[in-house]
Amino acid sequence: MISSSDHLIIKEELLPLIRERLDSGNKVRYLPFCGVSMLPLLRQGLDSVEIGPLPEKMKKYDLPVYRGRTGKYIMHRVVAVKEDHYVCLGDNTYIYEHILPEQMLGIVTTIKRGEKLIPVTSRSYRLYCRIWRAIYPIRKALRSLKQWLRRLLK
Amino acid sequence: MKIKDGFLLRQVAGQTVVLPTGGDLDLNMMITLNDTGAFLWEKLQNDCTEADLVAALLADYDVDESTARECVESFVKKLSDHDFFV
Repeated sequence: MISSSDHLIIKEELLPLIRERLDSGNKVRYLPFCGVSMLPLLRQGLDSVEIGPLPEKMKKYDLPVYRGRTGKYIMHRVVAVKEDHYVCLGDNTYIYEHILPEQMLGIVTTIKRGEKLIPVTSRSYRLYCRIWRAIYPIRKALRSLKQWLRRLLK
Repeated sequence: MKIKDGFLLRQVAGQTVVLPTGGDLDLNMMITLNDTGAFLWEKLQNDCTEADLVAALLADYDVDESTARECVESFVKKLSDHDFFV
């Protein structure tokens, strides 16, 4: 089963404006999004993000915004940095995506979670990223078990 | 009354929006203006009174005085609420 991708609700007509601000080194806030693929971190309808300009090279755990195959702007976490592309994965997805640098629009700099602002540089956020990634095999196994049990009961 | 420096009008998808001239962009703070709003905004680039704005509307638009006055009052209030005045 493919989880739906979290995509930012960016009106196409606002894109030039957003790109212009990002290109001049500024940030754009606060963009809402659709989807469940970044749970438990990002909750549709409750949370939103601030994005900033792309760094020269992204690092593992960074949360970029990139144009996906459908044309929508997706935000999934970088889980591996390759020589010519990035491997991204939603916090609540299990299918790796290979993203080229030219697909990238910006990078999440602050998360507005409810009324709380969480800078991505905060210690608690960085700890969350590491722990959530480290327990990926457990999460995946539990998900498989859950699916197997569901099939058994059908 | 006069609009503070640091804002500009921009056409986005056929609509006139007020944006900060530089720096970060807060999409929640973006204000869309209709044709009359854009007209009054331009007038407010220079110091003027509500009466000046009403007179300008009466000169350029086919509108009666009470409608023009209501329009100006509501627009000025909106800008004042968003702290756009010097």
